[in-house]
Amino acid sequence: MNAETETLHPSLANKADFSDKINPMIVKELRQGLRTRTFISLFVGLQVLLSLVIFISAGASFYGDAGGKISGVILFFFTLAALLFQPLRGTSAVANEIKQDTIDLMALTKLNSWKIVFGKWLSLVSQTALLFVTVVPYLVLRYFFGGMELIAELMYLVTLFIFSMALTAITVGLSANKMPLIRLILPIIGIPMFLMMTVQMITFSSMGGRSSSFTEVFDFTDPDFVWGYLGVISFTIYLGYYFLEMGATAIAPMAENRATRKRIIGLIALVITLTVFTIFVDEDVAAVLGSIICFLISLDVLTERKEFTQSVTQPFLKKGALRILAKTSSRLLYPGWPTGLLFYGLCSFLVVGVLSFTNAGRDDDILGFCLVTLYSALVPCLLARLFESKIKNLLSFHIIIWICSVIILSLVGMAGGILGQDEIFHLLIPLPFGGYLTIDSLDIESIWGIYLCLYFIMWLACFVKALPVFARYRQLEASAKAALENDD
Amino acid sequence: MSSPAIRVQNLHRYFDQLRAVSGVSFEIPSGSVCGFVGANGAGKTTTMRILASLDYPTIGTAEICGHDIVNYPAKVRSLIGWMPDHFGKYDHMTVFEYLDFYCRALGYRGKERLMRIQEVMEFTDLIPLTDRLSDKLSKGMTQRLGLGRALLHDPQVLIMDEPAAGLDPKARVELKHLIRVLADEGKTIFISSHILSELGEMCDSLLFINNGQIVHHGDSESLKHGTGLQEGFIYDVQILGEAQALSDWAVLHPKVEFMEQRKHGGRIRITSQDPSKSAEVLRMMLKDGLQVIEFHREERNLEDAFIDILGQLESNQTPPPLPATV
Repeated sequence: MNAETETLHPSLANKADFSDKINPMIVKELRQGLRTRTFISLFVGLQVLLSLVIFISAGASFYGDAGGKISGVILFFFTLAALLFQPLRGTSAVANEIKQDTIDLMALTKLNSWKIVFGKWLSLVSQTALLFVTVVPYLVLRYFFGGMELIAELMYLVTLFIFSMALTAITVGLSANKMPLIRLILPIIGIPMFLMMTVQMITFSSMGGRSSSFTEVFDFTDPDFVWGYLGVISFTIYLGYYFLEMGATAIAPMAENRATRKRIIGLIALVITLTVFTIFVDEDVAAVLGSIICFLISLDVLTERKEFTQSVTQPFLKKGALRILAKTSSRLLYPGWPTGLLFYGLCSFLVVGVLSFTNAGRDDDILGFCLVTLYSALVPCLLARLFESKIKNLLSFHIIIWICSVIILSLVGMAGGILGQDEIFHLLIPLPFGGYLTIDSLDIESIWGIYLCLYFIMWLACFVKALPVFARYRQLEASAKAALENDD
Repeated sequence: MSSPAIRVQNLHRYFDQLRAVSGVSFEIPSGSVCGFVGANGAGKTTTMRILASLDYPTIGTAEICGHDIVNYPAKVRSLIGWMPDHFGKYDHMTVFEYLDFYCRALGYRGKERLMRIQEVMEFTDLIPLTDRLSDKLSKGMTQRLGLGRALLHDPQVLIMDEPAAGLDPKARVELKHLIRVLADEGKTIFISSHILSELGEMCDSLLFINNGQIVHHGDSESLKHGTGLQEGFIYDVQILGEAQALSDWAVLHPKVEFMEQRKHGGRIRITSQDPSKSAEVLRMMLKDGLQVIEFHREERNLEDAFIDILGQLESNQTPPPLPATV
């Protein structure tokens, strides 16, 4: 079998369709994806619809604002394709590989888990880009109908494209989860919610609450809108990265350290958000966004499996002056929930710092929202430690606890509203998000006192559970050190 | 002496309360073919997945060519080719595209990649199927495709989990031939199968696993002849006259155990590993007046040997001691 043949067989000679420089996953996914019925139907359907719209509008162009209506129709269908159909195709991306046992075969190649998940995402995004490019000629045609605001419409399309990228990243990242509840239902509920929130945030809040058309919004003349827009886009990009990393973590082997880079990026994102928004925009927004980022970080760092191999510890085993720094950072950056707990403590500390030293901490709504959010992330972590042997999927467990809590709060909230007994809400304070119901009835000192105490108790309880694991990490480090010395 | 291609020491793998693998230890020398035999659920696939660095031992270690599978999975993965019993094929992808994807993923570029694919396709006779959709292949073709994929990076060690399962006789013969060629090239092959007779022909050694524990490790010849299981050899003896005479004769000779009476004689076990003892027994039979017309050593098939070993375990007999190496 090793005997090399000099010339290629005729049937193989013309098989160089994709460059070697492209990630193999993208080559595979494009080869498959461009041939799927879903994409072909979407592509052809969109072309047929848009052609029809142009023809009909051409016939009716004497009825005034035909150009605006064409834009509306084109953007509507593109929005549907980019924000709904394409992201939903991501829900089975990694799940199918796991189901068909092909993920094992991929793991044996030089593709690491990030390349697998990233490749899946990028191929879907490439297909969305293909749809995007095919819409442009219709926009050019639409120009002849008049009333076109080129920059605004293009910016709207670009924004849609970025949101589509993020939503696709969310579905692809979650598709690595074994629970269908998380993989399918969350995106199906989450995508429309995300769309609603985004539209509301961009078109109403930043325009001071007055309704306006997207073209007015996307002309970028309002400085508040520009900051808001940049903030939303940055957050969306981070969100996309975060979920892709989450998917990669789910399929990564124990010897692959995905946590360190992810945590450093998360910390940078948090610090930039807190700094930029505190200085240039609004301290309240900084605190709220900071606590949301913290909450997202918790979903990842507190749900990582605690096992890893000694090879993971090797980059942290430094000698000399760097030793203490490396050891300290290892306790924050090793994979696993025990180090995740310390990391989450650091992130929370930064948010609490902003709350303490700015006016954000003097607004009871903002303070309550931030502290309740930070505390809520820890509740499932402690429950998971109490039932550790019975829980196989930590991420699903966390999400289920939050969903259950929201359901209980909604039911009790409705009951309390009907009976007019708001005091009952105070019993719900220990539940995740339970404090949202009681913020209005508490003063600032009580909010600080109650939630910092609750947070500290939860964190400490989890930390006690983490102590034996840290002892095991020390053993791993010792054997890694011995192995390195042997190699030397 | 070179280090073994596969070394497993005190390997345990638990899934909650289930002990899939329990204290397995063995070594497979470089360049040998080792068959892995066991009933469904015995722990074969779990052991093989651990060796392929796709799963982790709860306790114990496993090494491929001296590299620990847990700590150095990337190195291990460059050394092994893994062929699972079942693997998914991709929709809308041709045989060439399937191999091309894995070849790219293994880091091959440009003409080297195409040459590598061609080499593997020629070896597995997949050239005529170049543009066939991979999900439209027969079972035999699929297995050849799986073997081709596993060979793309020319691994030193090939781990094959039930490669012959579900194949028709022709495809089985083809696969057996391919494995033999690979073995002749010096690759270490660790292969599990239910078709023991085929394993016997292909393998230098056989590893029997039951309930997550290795119950036998030896070469197929010793199993067929009964060594390594119970001391001695079994002979089929035919005599002229009353068959009873053979059993009467055996009673008087302590090294001979009468096992079963047949129409013209019976089966006896000569409880000695020394082959010259057989000649001595035959000489004594003739000397004592038995008219022996046939005297030949029985070769048991591997299925019988496997069943015997399992039977011994069930009747609480101690299994034979495991050799340190094959």
